[in-house]
Amino acid sequence: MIQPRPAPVKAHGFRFWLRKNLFNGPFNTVLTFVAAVVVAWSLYNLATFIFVEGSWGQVWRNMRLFGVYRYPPEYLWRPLLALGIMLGLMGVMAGAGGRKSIVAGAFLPIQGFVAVVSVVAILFWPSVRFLWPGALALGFLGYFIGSRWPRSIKYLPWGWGVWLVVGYLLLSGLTTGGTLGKVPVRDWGGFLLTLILFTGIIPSFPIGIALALGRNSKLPAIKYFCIGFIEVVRGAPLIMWLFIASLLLPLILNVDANSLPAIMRAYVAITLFSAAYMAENVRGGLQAVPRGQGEAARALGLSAWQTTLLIVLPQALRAVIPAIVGQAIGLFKDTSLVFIVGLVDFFKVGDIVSVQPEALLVTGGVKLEVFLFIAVIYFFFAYRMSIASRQLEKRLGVGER
Amino acid sequence: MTRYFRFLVALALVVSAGTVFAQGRLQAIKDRGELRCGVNANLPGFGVPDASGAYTGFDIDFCKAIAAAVFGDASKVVYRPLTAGERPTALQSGEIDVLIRNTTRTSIRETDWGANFAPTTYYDGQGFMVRKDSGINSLRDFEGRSICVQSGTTTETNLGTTLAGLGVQFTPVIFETAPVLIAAYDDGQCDGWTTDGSGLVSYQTQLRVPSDHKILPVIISKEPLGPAVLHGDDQWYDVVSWTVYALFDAEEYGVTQANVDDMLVSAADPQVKRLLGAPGSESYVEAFGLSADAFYQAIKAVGNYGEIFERNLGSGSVFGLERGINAQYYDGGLIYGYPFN
Amino acid sequence: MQPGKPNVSASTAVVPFWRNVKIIGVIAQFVFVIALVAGVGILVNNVVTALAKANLPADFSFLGKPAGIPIAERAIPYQVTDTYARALLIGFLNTLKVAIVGVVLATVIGVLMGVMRLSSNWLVRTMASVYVEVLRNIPLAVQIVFWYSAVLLPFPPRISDPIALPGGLIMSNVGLAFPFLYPTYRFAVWVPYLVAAAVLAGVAWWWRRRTLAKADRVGSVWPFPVVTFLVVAGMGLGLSYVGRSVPSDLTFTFEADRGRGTTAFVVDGKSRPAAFVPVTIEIEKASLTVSSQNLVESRQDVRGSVRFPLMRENEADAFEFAFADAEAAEERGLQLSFDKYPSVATIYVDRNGNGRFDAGEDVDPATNRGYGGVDVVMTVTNFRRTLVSDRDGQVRTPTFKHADDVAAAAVEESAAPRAGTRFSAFGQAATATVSESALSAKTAIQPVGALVLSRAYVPVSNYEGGMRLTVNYLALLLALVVYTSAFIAEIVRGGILAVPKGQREAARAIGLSGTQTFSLIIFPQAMRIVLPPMISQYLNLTKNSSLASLAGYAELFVIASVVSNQTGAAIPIALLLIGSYLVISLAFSLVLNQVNARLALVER
Repeated sequence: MIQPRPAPVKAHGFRFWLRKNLFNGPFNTVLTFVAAVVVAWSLYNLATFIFVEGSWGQVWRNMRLFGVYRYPPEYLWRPLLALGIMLGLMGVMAGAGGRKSIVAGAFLPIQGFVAVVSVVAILFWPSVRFLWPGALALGFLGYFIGSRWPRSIKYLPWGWGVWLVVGYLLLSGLTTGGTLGKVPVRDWGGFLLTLILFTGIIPSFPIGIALALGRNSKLPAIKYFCIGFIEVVRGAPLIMWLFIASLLLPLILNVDANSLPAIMRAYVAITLFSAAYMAENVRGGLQAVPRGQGEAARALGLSAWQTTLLIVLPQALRAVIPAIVGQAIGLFKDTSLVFIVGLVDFFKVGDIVSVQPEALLVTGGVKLEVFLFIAVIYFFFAYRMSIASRQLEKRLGVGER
Repeated sequence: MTRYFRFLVALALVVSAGTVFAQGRLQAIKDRGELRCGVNANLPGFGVPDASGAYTGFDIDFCKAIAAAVFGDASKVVYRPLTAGERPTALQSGEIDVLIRNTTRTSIRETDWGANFAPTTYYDGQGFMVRKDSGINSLRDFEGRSICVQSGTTTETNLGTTLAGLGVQFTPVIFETAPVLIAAYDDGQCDGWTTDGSGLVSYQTQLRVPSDHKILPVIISKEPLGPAVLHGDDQWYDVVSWTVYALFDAEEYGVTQANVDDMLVSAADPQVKRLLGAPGSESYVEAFGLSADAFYQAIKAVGNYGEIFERNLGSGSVFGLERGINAQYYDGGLIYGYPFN
Repeated sequence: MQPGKPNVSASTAVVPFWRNVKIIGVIAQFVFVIALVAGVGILVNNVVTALAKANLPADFSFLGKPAGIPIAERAIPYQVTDTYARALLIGFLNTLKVAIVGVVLATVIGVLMGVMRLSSNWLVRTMASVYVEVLRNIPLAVQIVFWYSAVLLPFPPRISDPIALPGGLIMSNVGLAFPFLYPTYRFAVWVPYLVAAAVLAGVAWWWRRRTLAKADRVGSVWPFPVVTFLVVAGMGLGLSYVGRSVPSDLTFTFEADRGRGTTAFVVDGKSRPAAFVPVTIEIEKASLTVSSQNLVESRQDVRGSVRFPLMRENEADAFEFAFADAEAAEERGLQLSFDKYPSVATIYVDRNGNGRFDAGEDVDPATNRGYGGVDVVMTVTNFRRTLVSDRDGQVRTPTFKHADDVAAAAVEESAAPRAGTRFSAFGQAATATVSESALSAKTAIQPVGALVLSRAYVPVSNYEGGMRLTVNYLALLLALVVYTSAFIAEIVRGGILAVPKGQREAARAIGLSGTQTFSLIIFPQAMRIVLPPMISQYLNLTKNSSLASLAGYAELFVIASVVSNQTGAAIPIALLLIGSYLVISLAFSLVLNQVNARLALVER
């Protein structure tokens, strides 16, 4: 005979949650207390530092250096206009995709960030008082257009193409002097430079795909060239390639060193380095596409090129989108290595800011403050991207069995 | 193989000579409308960007002076921040017109780099900084202690060979960048640190309590720092050299940024008149391929040598450096402007 | 799969070739190779021309020249006069040193964090998640600077007042030092025993396995060879201590007033440094003068403290302390208060007259700072210390002066001459020897067995003896480990989640406990899944160690860039670097592929 069972315990409510998650058994209870002490101690110290001990004036005073380094202040509207257009384009994508889409998931936090900066700009930075809110407004305008006329998304590839050209022209300028005065590439710096270098992921995409296809080629010459390139580039650290590119690229290409500013040398190194990693990611995707797909395509009479471009690659890329986002995060962080070739990106500005005369008046220096600030900004963007990657993973069903 | 190399070298030299020297660099600079100046972006007092991002410093002022002499406008300079290791390539490739980045004039740089050094603007020497209360008073006291040093410079080799020569055993701690090194020294990772005397003074202000530290009365090397241009263009070399001499002379003759306008009109001394290209003596300056008021413009832009020194390094700065051997010859120093005759 | 670029050649080819994939392939490859060779040829030619023009070396001949680079952190003997090749080798070994230790630690922490992320305890789970998310989303460069400049340099105490933990561990912001066993010149005596031990262990292993197989029994095999090895090797080690004596050609020269000595073998007038030789130094009476310092430590002021080299009470019969200038101290009312005998003292003025040091009395009201720059003399009687010389045969003691020499030294110090007229250190007054009455010391070389325990100590302002880890190494290691462990945690978590649910359920069904299920069923299977991504993380760690310059650690890339700056030999050095990193990559892949293969077999 079966004994009657007791009624099920109430399985919700705060107390139940506590018991289930924190105090289920003696071991877990001890663990909870130890962890609580560690957490409390860390939080206390962090809070004391941030609100009491830290002297943030030095960080605050140098926001422009952090943002654009030596980009001329009278031209600040140009990078911000480029930013505004970018936000607008993202807005169109987000608006068309709906609020729950992944693009919107990335777009809205960035808009939030821009909104915060806008408020600060309105209050404290007279020179960019209207520019930041302007960029914010462009973003929302795009969002409005996208949600009102979702079909406008068709024209977006053109939009991005135009943006690339316009953005570059805005940054570098056209004329000597005047509203569109030229700004030499070497004056680009700060977070602006970090973002510019980050775009190296875009050209690395086609190169990476070509390398991946080459690596899978049946022709030994091409195959071994690709394998060699991928493995050698991946085998050594990026910092070394940056160093080599900065010293030798002008020599290798036999061009005047002036026509190849340090930023471009770093850009080439970053792009090729990223392409080698991209190739490995894409190769993983190619292997994941069932053989039958290619065979079926050939059977239908598609040419080899058609099979690859229309059938195999789209499926392969779809499978590796999360990996590519992961790689993008890595590249975003790796842009901080360009300090080795004398470029002043967001990270390197920290060094400069912490040795300015004002920084020395503070007992104990401001290193902790400066690098905490830098870490937080990097974290914000990298973490946002990693959340997007996780959403993508879920959406695409990668990793589910 | 060697013969092939030699042929290539000869060919390369001919080709580059053809492109570079067909038109003098001075003319090239004028056509371009800007002077390219290789500088240090990380040495307070000599070259560092301020909060607005504009470069300031002793070396920077010489870039401005040359630009003012060439264009009559001190702002027409493009600064190319260089690391110590980038200097030779930047100079040889023609990427920069003039290198003014606390660079020591040495035989190997004149020969291997192919650099022509203009007059020395700052006489320096490698020294050591220690805490006042560390008990270190001479190099011998570094026995068993540690010294911080920046990599990639002659400083490092000077340190190694000098102390080895004295039989002193010490622990070297090498750093790539100066800010990291300063922090390490200030936090007590090293008992002392070494670089050029000017660098010691410059960075002393970056320590928590600068007055707790002292510079040892020991100099282990000669470091004459001055502008350098590439071999083979005498006209450009003269322009750079004589801009420096003009600033030296200006101090000697009492021409300052403030009174240069009056001097131009009213100076009686023929030396001053020639220097400033005053009416009647224009040809002295014009012979350099510059406009008659070139050195007037240079002085107007940055002041004379003494003013540049005081503003960036001396009493007008946080460093409060003494002129020392960088005083005029009549004050017992080594600064000696040549005559405009 | 598909030929690279068939269309290019196809248009020019004869029609039958058009459909012949093989021929198209051959032609395509031919075109490709020609294009490649031509392209590379042009580029190489450019480089060679440019190098020749700039007068820079394009071969490896610079490797044999003397480097002149001082390097502190080294695993093999090195002097500034050694060659570039040796300097680069030291860099390579330093890279290995940080990479191997880093890989082990990152794995341990990463696995722990990965498991913690799956804990049923919400707090633990969340903590681990925050750890992973924060650390892997901040650039490594930022983390290195953070750990080095913002944490490890400013916070631990200075070398002059280190934390001395039981067991001989010493900690300060210069780094970490602890006792370590080193092989001596008599190590060779032990080697035959070690060989014998290894052979016997093999035999024991074989014998045990055979016995078990014969008896058809299950039992553990490993204790037999291990015990055999330990017994035989231990016996050999013990024997190496029997009948030991000091070889006649082993010498020890000691300069007491410079506080340094050298152990060396002198054969036919030529001396060769003898590493790891224990020696005893006895000084009858000596003194040491130290100035008090005002320091900023752990972001706090430490005022007017006097620090003597860390000394144990049993090392001398008596320690006496006095102000160097007693009258002046009396006049100012200065007193000494010892915090840690006999290493650190604070100088204070007993303003409330209670005879002891109270808070606030160490501040000079006039300047609002501590009493800095006051000389204090320590006199020790019958100082004796047994030390082990280091790898280069060097021994160091505190730089004692002759006890009667204090007054003279004080005078000489104040009269330190201003720089002479010449710009050379040689022959300058400040570097010339000052007159000192020579300090004499009695020294003796101790006999030694195959191994010797070297203790860490602080004679002047650096660690000597023992195993030393610099703060630069530790900061880089910490940043690398923490950063990589966040990635490893994610891999481990993914691996554990990827083990099919049925495995856990089956394990629980056959009665295994939760811990057993995890350690015997889930974890081994997860390991098999996570190994390939782990390999790439290990390689990343190794490559990331090239950021060492941010922490001042002399690793391969740092030394290579110094050499490149000095010689201008950028291309040869780049080739060397690529080669070195590829060698490391291959080694890692080989080792881990072996492990991988073994795990895969076990699984089947």
